[in-house]
Amino acid sequence: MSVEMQQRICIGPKVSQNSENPISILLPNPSSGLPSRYIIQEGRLFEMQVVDTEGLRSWFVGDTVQSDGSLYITTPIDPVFMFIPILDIMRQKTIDSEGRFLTIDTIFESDQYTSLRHLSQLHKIELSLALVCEVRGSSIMKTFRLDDDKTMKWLKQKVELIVNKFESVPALVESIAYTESLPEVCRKEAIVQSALRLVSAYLSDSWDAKLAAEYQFPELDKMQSRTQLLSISDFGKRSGMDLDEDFKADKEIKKPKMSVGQKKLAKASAGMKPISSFFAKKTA
Amino acid sequence: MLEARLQTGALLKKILEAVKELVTDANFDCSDNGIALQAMDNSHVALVALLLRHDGFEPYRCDRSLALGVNLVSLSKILRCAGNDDIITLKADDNADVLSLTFENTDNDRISEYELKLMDIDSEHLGIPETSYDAVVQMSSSELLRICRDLQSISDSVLIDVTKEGIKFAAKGELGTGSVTLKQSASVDKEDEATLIELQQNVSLNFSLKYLVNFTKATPLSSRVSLSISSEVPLLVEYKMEAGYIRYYLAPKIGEDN
Repeated sequence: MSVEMQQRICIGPKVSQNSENPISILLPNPSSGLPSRYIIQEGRLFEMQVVDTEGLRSWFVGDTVQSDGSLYITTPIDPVFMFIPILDIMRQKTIDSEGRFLTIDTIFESDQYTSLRHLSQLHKIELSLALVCEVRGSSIMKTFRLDDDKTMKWLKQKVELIVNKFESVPALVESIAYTESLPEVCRKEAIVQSALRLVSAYLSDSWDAKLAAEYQFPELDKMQSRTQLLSISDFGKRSGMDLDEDFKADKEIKKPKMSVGQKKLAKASAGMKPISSFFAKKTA
Repeated sequence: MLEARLQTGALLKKILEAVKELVTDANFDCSDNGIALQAMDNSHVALVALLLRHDGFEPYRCDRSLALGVNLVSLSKILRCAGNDDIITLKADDNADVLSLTFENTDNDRISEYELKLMDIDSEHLGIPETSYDAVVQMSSSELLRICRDLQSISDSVLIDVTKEGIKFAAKGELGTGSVTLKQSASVDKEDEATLIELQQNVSLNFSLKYLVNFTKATPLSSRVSLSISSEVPLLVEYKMEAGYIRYYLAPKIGEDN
């Protein structure tokens, strides 16, 4: 091929020496639907994350300098997350009908994403599909259709899986550090809520909403109404405390001098909601 | 420390003109990405977000993130001393209490140096979520300026209606009514004047003209402007620059009949 081989710094899974080359493909992100980069190797699917340095950094590799300073990280992803939105569209469910049964080949046929067909080569694809699908047909000609109940059950199992492993991941434990002083029930709920959000990050809005409806957090809600808790999923992005109090405090400290134009604007602002009621505050 | 050299000083002058009426004091947040500013107006109904990317400066250096608290009126006073063709260099040390500005005029070898006192500003950054808007209208920025100014003589607020046919600005006041409609156009030969509409669904919202007129102070920065509108969320008015943007957000007016 005439394509120049590019060197990149990548953290990836261990593969055996004689393994086939990874295939890098663009697939619709299960949450946003936007094209994202995925890797298939040895019949397994990986998602790729990039720490982009926008050309501002480089790597030292041995005695050479590599100008692309980005870091690529590939981690295994359960392909079923990828299947759900695809199956959801392909079954063409309507109010009257539960939708179509499809063969593996037709499921992964898309004009927009031709690389979808690579997914059909994944290891144990039929078993993966069967986790969330109703299966019909003989072993020679199997057809699949997304089953809402099965999918929901599978998603809930995923949440449970994270809940069970929660305490063994320091970053997760840290993310609910705010519950330390709270009663045990709250902590338990916070763990489930945190796990739910991790799973939701891989779901489309509609599935996210359906899954969220399956969980209630009465204790946390009670706490939330009393004090504004830091929201956990928005790593780094935190909601502020009481907004109004902040404004009042500001005004007492200093009243900025206003120019004529600004005074006019101040009058014109009547009948509008403050912008902070649309955009949440975050601490820098 | 920060060191940023801007080839065309006029750009910085225009930017200051575009924000100083709206915001009194603000932090310039400098990082290796570039220089950013986010601030609400005094009434907290509008927000301006400015970004000057690092690649707009030559050279650009910022070792550690800095927040430079600046009184914008004072800064624009100093910038008035710079010529439009001057090369402007901004410098600040870590923990500095002044921002130093150097204006170089290559034609007559004139170098002027100013220092602006900095101030501590408690700024709260708002997280602006990615929004897919019901309607995104790309249009000529000078056209928007003219419409806002014209309709201001009729009323204080304007009803913006976007359909797939076009965008309509309508005002209704004591002396009468007025409206301007721009049809979706594909005038190939006048790219700068075309009105392009991407529409998910029709929208119809009321906005304060005083604020819109204020936003159009950014008109010299770009020949094009985009209006992104959805019901129940703030209007986004964006002027794109070569290496960055200036975005204004404005809460819609509520409870007003037309």
